[in-house]
Amino acid sequence: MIHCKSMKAVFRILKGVSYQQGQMFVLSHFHDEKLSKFTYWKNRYKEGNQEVFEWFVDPDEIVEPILNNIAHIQAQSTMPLRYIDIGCGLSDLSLHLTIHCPRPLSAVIVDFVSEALQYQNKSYVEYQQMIQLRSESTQHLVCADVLHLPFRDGGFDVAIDKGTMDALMKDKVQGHFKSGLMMGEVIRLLIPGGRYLQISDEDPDSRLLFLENISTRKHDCDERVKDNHREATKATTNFHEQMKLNHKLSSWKFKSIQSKSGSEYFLYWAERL
Amino acid sequence: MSRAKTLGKLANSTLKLHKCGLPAANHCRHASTSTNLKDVMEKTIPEKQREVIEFRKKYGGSKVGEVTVDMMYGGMRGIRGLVTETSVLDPDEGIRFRGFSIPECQEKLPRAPGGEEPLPEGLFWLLLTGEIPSKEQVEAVTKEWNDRAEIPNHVITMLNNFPSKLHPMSQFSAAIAAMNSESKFAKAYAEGVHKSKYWELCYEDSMDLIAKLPTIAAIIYRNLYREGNPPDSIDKKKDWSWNYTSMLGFDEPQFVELMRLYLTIHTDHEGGNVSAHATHLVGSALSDPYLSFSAGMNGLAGPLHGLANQEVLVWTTKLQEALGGEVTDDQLRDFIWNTLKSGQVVPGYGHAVLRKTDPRYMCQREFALKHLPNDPLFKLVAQLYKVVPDILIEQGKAKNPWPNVDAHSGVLLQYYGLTEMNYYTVMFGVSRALGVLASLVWDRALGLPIERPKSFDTPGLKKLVGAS
Repeated sequence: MIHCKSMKAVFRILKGVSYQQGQMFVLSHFHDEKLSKFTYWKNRYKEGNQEVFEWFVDPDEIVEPILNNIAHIQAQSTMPLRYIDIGCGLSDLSLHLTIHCPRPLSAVIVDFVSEALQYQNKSYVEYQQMIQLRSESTQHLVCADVLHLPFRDGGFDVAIDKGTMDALMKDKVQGHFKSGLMMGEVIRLLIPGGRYLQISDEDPDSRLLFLENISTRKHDCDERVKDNHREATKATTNFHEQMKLNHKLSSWKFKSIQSKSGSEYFLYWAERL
Repeated sequence: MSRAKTLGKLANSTLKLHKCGLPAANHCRHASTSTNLKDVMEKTIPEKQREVIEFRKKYGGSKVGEVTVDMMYGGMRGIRGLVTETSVLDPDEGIRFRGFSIPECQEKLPRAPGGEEPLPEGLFWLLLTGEIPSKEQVEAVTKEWNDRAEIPNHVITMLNNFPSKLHPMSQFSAAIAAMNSESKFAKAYAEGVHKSKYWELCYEDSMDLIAKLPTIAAIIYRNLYREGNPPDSIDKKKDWSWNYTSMLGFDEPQFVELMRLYLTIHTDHEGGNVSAHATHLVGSALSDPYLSFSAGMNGLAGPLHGLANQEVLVWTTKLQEALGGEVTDDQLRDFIWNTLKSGQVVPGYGHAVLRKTDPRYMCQREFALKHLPNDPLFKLVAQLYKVVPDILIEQGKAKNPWPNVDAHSGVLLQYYGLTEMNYYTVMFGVSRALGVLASLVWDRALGLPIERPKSFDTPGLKKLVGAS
C-alpha cells in the first residue's frame, strides 16, 4: 500500500519535472503541512519573536458575534463564566473577550507551546497595568496538548478554537483522526448547555459536514497512529482506545463574518446536550 | 427450482417488450455497450427510480439538518435542500462527476484521435448514465450532436439584428429562449403526453439544444467581434468542441484541445449554484429545457456567478503592467504582501471550500506548462501560484488559500487570441449546458415535483421564533 503511494508520488514529481525544461519543479511545494507540527510552532513563538498574530479575523471583528452567541449561557448565575481558549497562540482574542464581556470571565488559556503562554501572560499583565480588569475575572495559563486536556469533565461553559482544528487538519495522514480526538476532548470538557465555538476560513459547505462527521463517529485507535502520537507528545499517554460520541452535541450552526479585508470567515458552534 | 415454482414465476412475471421486439431482459445485457444513449437511459432510469423509492420509503422522514433565521436571510447558505445526481463537491478531491474526480476523468474519458484532452461528449455520457463511455459511445454522441445542430432561421435573424452593445450573455439567453419554437417537450405537453414520457422529451430537447449551442455562441462572437462574418457550417467529421472553435474562427489544433478541456471542466458544480439551480427550478414548473436553460444563463450572467474569470484576468494584466515584464519571486512577494496588508484581496484565491488546489486549476496549469510555458502572462500566473498561498498563510488570512478555476482560464484563452473578455461567460455557459441539462433529464425521470419552499415575512418570522 505504502509502496504504491510513494510510487505515485514519485511519478507525480517526475511528471512535474518533465514539463519544465531544465528547472527542478515539484508539483506541490506548499509547506502548509508544517502548521500541524509542534516543532514549527515552538520555533515560531520563540522568545524575542513574540508579536501578536491573528488567524483569519481580528478580535474586534469577532468579539461581538461571540459575546452575543454566549450571552445566554449560565445567564442567571452570579459565578464567572468558565471559558477555555484552545490553542491560543499569539492571539489577543481572549484578552478582548475578557475586557468586553459584560460579566466576569474565568479564563483558561491553553497552548502546547509554552512561549505562546508567555506572550499571553505578558499581554494580560500589560493590560492590567493600564486598566484594572474586573477582580472576579481570572486568567490561568496551561501548557497542554489539545488532544489530551488535563481537565475534568464538564468544567467549562464555553470553548473557543480559532484556527486550532484547522492546524490539526494540515496533517495529511492523521489530521481527521486528530480532529476527532480534539472534538471528543472539547465535548468532554463542556457542561450540558455549554458551547464549542470554532472560527475558521473553511466554507460551511465542507466544514459543517466535517464537524458533524467527527462529532458523532466512533474513533478506533490505529496502533501506528498511536505510536506516532506518543512520539509527538513525548510522553507515554494513557490513550482512549475508542471514543463513542453518541450525539452529545447539538447540530452545528454557523454565522458568516465579513472581515474588513473583504474576505469571508465563519463562526461555527454547537451546544453540549 | 421446482417445476411448479418456475411456472408460477413465469405466470407472475410481466414481459416488457422493447422497441425492437426483444424482451426487455435481453436488452439489459447489452445496455452498457449500446451506442444509443437514449436506450441506455431507458435501461438505467427504472433501476434508479426504484432505488430512490426504496430509500425514501425507509428514510423519507429522516432529518438532514436544521434551518435558522440567519440561513433564511443568508441566501439559504448551508441549507441542505436539493438532490442533484450529476456532481458532488468533495472537499479533499474537488468536484466529482458521478463519483469520478477530474484527474480520473482525464485519465478514463475518451479523447479525440491524436488529442490528449477528454471530449465533453464523453463527460455528458457519464453525467447522464453514470458510466464511463467507450470510444464508440462518444463518437455516437458527436454524430448525434452534429446531426441536430441546425438553427431555426428566425433565431439567426434575431441574432443578426441585435445591436452590438447588447451583452453577449443577453444575446445568448435570448436566442436560447427563442429556440423553444423547436421544443418537442412543449409540443408534446400541449398535446397531453403522459408524464412517464417527460424524461424522453426532455432528453430530446436537451440533445437538440446542446447541439445548437456552439453555432449560436459562434454567431454571437462573430457578430460582435468579427464584423458579422457568418461562421462556417458544421463539419460532420469534427467533434463538438472542434466545430465550435472552427466556427469561432480559430484553427490552431492546440486551441481545439484547450476548448475540449475547458468545455469539460466547466460542465457541472453541484446543484446549488445559481445557473444549475435556476435551470432546475424553472424546469420543475415543466417549462421546456430551452426556457429552463435560458433562465440558468440569466443567472450565470450575474456578476457574482459568472464573471470571476474576467476579474482575475483584469487584475493579473494590471499587475503585469504595474510590475513591467519579468519580476523575481521576491519582488512579486513584496508586491502581494503589501496588497494583502493594505486590506485588498487577490482575486481567484482564498475561498476555502477545498483543502487543496482545485483540480480544475491544476489541469489548466498542466495544459499551459505543456503548450505555453514561456507565455509572460502564464509565467506570472505560475509565479502567483508559487507566492500567494504561502503569503495568505503567513499573514494568517487563510489556512486553505488555493486558487480556483477562474484564476487560470483567462490566461489560456488570451494566449490563443480569444481576448474578448465579455465573451468568456458565454463559453462557460456552453459548457454548463451539459451538466444542468443532464440533471434536468433526471429531474423529469425521477418525477421531481415543482419546487416551492415556504417563505415568511419578517414579522411572521419574528413571531415564529418568539422575538418581540
